[in-house]
Amino acid sequence: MADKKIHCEQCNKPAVYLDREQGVHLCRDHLKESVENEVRRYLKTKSLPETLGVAFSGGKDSTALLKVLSEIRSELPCSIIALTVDEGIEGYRQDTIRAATETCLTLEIPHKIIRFQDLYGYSLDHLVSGSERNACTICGILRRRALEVLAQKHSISMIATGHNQDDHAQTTLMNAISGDVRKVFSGYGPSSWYAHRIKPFARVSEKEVTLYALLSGLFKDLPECPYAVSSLRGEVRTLLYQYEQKHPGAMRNAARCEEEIRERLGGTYHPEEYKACSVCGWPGSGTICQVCMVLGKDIPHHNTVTKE
Amino acid sequence: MRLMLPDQSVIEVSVEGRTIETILNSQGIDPLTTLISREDEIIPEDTIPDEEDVIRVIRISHGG
Repeated sequence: MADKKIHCEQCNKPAVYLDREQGVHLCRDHLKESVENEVRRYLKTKSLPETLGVAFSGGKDSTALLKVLSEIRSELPCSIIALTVDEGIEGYRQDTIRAATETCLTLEIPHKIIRFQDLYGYSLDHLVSGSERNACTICGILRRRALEVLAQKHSISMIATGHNQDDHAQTTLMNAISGDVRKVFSGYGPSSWYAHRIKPFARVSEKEVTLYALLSGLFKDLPECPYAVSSLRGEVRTLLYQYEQKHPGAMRNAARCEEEIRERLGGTYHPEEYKACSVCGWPGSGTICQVCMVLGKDIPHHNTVTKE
Repeated sequence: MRLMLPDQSVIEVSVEGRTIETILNSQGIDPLTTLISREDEIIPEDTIPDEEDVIRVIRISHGG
């Protein structure tokens, strides 16, 4: 028998996870405890409001985050509400919305959903079919606004997202590749318009997050978004995994690099103040906001999309 | 060892004292993007499996 079972460093139960950087193995209980402790540590650095919104797509990251928050909710000074945006992606979103609804019922967390179709009059599928712009760009702009509308409707001033350490590392490298230093040096300035975003999984790897969801019985093998086929993020992800395999800790270091720059130098670049959009009145960097441009409202007497 | 891949295909692989990580790499699969299961139990990728084992590779989907 060649098999050598690997055991947890802390309790000798069968291991489920290898921390490659530390060379440490953890069992399911200690892996879950480790993730929950990291979220506890992160949340202690934040001034939490009365109600914390959780951006909840129904995917593995936001599902794991909602589960962690439900596990530690008795320790939190706030209540939790799950916020879901239904972009309208045929053949994909129905399953994930259903999964999101089931998870919230299981965890007994209030759940609010907003639909592109109701807010903008169009589904993402429809908007993408009538545009030459990248689907992820259109979706990102509209989803952010939709989440804000939902947050304002429920008086939510802070939203937790499921972005994990791998996401951060990818963003760091993408910002470097695109030379977008303004995003880094403008820091995390508070805004009276937008809900403050926090990322409790900023120091938790994608693998740990996925394992947490799986070991909690909430992992569902859901399809990936059909629009996320090819992107710069995908290329950067592949590159970072190659580095991580050869140099354990590379992912963590890349993620913390930008975090540290933001903490030390954030605010040294002062972006222009928001202007009210001349079409919808929402704040933006130009006279017409990105949302109105995506919806074709920046072209007088000419609609680039036709209503479904 | 039988390796059940995320696309549901199954391949026979000789272990030869190698870890699952090494075996996955030899098949062009990045072990960092997968979870490994044996008899419905998750195991770390540096496990050396038995020749009789059936190992399931679960792909970690991105986003969400």
